Amino acid sequence: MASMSDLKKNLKILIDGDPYVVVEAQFVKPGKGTAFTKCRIKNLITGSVLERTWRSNEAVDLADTENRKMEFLYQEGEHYVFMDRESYEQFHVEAEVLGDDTRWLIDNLVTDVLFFNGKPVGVELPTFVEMQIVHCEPGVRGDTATGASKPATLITGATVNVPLFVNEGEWLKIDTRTGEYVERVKK
Amino acid sequence: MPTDLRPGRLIADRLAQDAAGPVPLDAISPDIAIGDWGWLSTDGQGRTSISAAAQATRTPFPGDEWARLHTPDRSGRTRLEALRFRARILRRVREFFDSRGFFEVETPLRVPSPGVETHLSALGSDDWFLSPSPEFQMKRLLAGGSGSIYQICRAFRRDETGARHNPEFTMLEWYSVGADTDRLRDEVEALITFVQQREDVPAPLPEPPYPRWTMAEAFSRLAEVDDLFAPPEALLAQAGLPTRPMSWEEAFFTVFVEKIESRLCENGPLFLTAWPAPMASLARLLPDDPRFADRFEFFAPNPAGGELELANGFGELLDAELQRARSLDELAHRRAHGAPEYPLDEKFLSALAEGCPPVSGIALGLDRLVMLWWGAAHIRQVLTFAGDEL
Repeated sequence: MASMSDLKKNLKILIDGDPYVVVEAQFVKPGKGTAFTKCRIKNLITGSVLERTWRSNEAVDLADTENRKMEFLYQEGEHYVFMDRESYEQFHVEAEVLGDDTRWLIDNLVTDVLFFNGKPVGVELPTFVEMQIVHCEPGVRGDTATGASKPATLITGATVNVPLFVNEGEWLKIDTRTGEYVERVKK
Repeated sequence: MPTDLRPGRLIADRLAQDAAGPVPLDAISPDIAIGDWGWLSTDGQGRTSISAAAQATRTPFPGDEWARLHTPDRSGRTRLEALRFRARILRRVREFFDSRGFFEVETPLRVPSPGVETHLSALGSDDWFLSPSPEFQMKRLLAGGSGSIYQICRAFRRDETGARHNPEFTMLEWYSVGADTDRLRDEVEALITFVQQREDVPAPLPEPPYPRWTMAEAFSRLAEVDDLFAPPEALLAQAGLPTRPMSWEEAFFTVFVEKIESRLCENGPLFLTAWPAPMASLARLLPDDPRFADRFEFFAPNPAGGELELANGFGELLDAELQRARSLDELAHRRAHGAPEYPLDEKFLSALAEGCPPVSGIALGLDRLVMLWWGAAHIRQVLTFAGDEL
């Protein structure tokens, strides 16, 4: 439990069983009356943002959350296995938690895993990952400016659109927020 | 005597950047190394020198203090510019009241009673308090026949920190003898016009007059609440808010915060008058409808977003017995809610009993007015030091 005066940016709180983070908190006390804190809060699992106002004498439940740096090891059926880089403890994360992000999971990728009540509920990937192309049409020399593109299949099975000059076997930098090709990288 | 002092950075090509342009280092002092900085001064004969203290410190340039005042914010303006603007506003405010026959007073900041308002949390000072409002002492002056007075002072309130709150803030409080609250509202408008006509204000308020809504009108227009005095559940339900168990006062302020406050200033500044009697504080009740108090607040849109509660005015309650009864009620409420009990200010109550001329008084948050005129989103931008900078 926390009192309203603790309601500050970045506080993790519990509402209807879901963990939220306070994105913005504003203290208001109109007309010498009851004090309130108006907050914008973000659901840590779904990402949805909402506004809530608390009165000074209301208590807020704190969410038991923790961020841990974890390394992706391997897939096991419907689960993805991650390892804590400090304790070497291993956790099974359900595919549902990862959603589309499974397509960027390459071995040994280091991610931020959000734990809620001791269970992994969210995985934040690095903004950029580097992956090898396993298949695409042969490159076309000299064409670097027209913006034309072709699909390329990556080592995880994900496809991205790449410029025509890119070749099979090359390594790419991908923006995991948009799923777009950024540039070629030398390996 | 140096006539001109300003910070100068000594640059790598053995030149100092002075106000008047580059100056060779060896023309200033042979002891200075490249990369040093200091306070350059011109001696009146065009000779530039650098202060000895700065030569000895060897701190990075610019220092934290210099950076705090000179680093432009998102709007491209510095804290120093905001503070200079604030100084000009303060001078104009004094000019306004001086020209209207008020005189400026200074009452003590350390007082034996902070008042007993239900939601007040005062800062202690030994067994006394840092004053959350100068009202008791100013009313004692009025009872003594001071005539119309004003004060610009610090006020202190514990646990009030945020974009619009600082635990120590500057209050402009004035009392207009013989005026009713309508005339006091005119005076607020006149003050705004007076300053805006004389100072270059980056974000001026629209020209007065401003609408005056009663609290009942605001609740009806913005929250569709027709009966302000309905029981708490009914009040919340009428406003379309989820009903949770709470007192009438909490329900009232919940509707106010959730439904009304953010929309009050959609069309500019506004006076909100005729507050419900339970929120009378130190205001008299309205003679023609005692369900309401002769209390008003002034709200203005903040160009940086949202609205600002700027001032709170009373047609002052002058009946000592009523005032005592009201204070005892508030003390009982504090006791019931486990809030610290503060002593009554007996000297204030006996001053009322001796007799005080009919008077209306108002407290205006000067930091907020400067914030609004400057277009600042956070109160710290117009303070020399916010609490967390000390």
